[in-house]
Amino acid sequence: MTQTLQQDNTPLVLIVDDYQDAREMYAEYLEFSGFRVIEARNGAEALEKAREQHPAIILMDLSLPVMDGWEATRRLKEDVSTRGIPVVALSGHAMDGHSREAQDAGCDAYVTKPCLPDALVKEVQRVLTAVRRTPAE
Amino acid sequence: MPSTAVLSSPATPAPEARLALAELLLGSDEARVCARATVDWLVRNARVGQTLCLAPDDTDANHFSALASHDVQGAERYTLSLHDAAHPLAAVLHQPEPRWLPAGQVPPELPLGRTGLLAVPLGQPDPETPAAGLLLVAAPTPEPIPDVRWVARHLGTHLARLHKGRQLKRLEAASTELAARVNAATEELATQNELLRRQAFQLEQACAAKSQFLANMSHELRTPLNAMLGYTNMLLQGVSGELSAPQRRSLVRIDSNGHHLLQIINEILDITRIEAGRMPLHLSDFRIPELIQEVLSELDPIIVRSKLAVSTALAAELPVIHGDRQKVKQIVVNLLANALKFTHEGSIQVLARYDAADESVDISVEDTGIGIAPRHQEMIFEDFQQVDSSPTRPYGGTGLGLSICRRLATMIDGQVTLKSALGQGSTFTLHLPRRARPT
Ligand SMILES: Nc1ncnc2c1ncn2[C@@H]1O[C@H](COP(=O)(O)OP(=O)(O)O)[C@@H](O)[C@H]1O
Ligand SMILES: [Mg+2]
Repeated sequence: MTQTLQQDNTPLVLIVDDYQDAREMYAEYLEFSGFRVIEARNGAEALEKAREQHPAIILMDLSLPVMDGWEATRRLKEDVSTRGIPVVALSGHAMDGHSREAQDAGCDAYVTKPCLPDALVKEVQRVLTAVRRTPAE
Repeated sequence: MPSTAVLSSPATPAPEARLALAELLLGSDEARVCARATVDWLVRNARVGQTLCLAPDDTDANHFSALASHDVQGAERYTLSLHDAAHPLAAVLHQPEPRWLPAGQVPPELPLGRTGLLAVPLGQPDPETPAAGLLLVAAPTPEPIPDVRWVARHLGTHLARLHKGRQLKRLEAASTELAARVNAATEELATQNELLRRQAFQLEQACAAKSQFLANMSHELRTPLNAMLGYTNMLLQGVSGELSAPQRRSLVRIDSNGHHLLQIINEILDITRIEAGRMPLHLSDFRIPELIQEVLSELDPIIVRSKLAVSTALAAELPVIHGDRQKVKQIVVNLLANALKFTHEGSIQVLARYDAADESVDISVEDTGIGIAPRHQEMIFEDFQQVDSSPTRPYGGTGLGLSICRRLATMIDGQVTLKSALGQGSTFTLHLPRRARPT
């Protein structure tokens, strides 16, 4: 399974959001922009899919049911098999503290919603380029 | 002319009898008892006939009631009003000498003295202090009656003393009552204070709940708006294929209205956060030129579209600022966005200078726009206030930008001022200390 993914060189993006319309919107635009996309509706599902399919990047909404985005990120960063995947936090709150908490949880970047699809794709490209330049150990 | 006679030098009274009366008076605290004893003494020792002793009421010094009498019909209920200063007895109240009225001059309302009347003031009156009462004795001739003057003086002094005592008691009672009232009022005040404290607390809680509600609301509002703006943006980019011109125009309208709505929501959220104290200060060291550069690039799309000449004029020696960078930036963004919105031709300049004397920095945004009339210059800093707020106004906006600026400026110990004249452009200035006070 990992082999098929490695053969395909378009990056795989995991988008985690409980709000279907937003999730599918970003997914659609990411595909339009040339990415492959998988989706998860909560933190637990995100962990599962990340371990299974090892995406190139994860877009993580923070307030999620079952397991929130902070907790999911913390667990991803504790797990050696997923630690290297960059996580971009997506938050609906422009509140102070949210971005710091996200950083503390291990998020690599932080984006506030509303965020237009093209802005999000730009951020994904930026983070991926940065990661490629300094590959995670 | 009333013929009156002044009685002088009465006969010497019997010393034992006088002593007896003096002791009697001293032994009593009752005005009536004293007056009774005095009248009785006169009847016995001076052989007077009809006699009436009158004293003023406690509440009205010109209204007299009977204290004691001898041989006068209905004397117990008799009252005499001396409000009229021309009354023949009124004058007696203010002179130490007795006065004799012949038969024809005795006022008819008096129940005695049809054959002549001797009116004796009680005590030692003078023009300032009126007599403590009147002693009226029937007397057909002005001849002095032995002892009457002495007795009247003595009784008067005694009555005055009793009167003072009564007043003192009343004063004491009044002061006790006053103290009670003060206590009651103090207690009431304490209760009210407690109530106010509780209400203030409840108000604070309600206010916090309101802010929380608004914060949640803004979040809830932005979630669907995010999808609306996102899909619109995707359609406009041609994700679902080419668009016809009318479709594009409609989508552009949806897009711009959506952004306007988002701006309103964001600004309301900002105000809520400031009011709820949930916009804490983040102090750091930063440089003004970099900050202004950031503001310019953030607004670059609007600057390009405006076709205005936007320049900067920064003083050479700008020090490093210690303050809340994010808030300073938000203020400058707001001021510059306004300048761009309200200027149709000409130029905009962003200036920064340092005043070493009071260690403060001024960041100004100067435009050649429509300007603001003096009467609007205070108002526009208030929530939702715009010079033109009509539905057909040519400028978009919520009217919250400047009120947010002012609040933010207050938080960072700064202030926003304005210099403008209608049609002459405007200069908004953020004045802030080089080092913000840490809180
Ligand atoms: N640079 C300016 N030139 C002329 N008028 C201005 C300028 N800046 C602000 N105003 C006036 O002050 C009002 C309030 O400004 P603001 O609080 O930012 O609200 P908004 O920009 O949403 O209308 C504006 O509507 C406008 O009438
Ligand atoms: Mg404005």
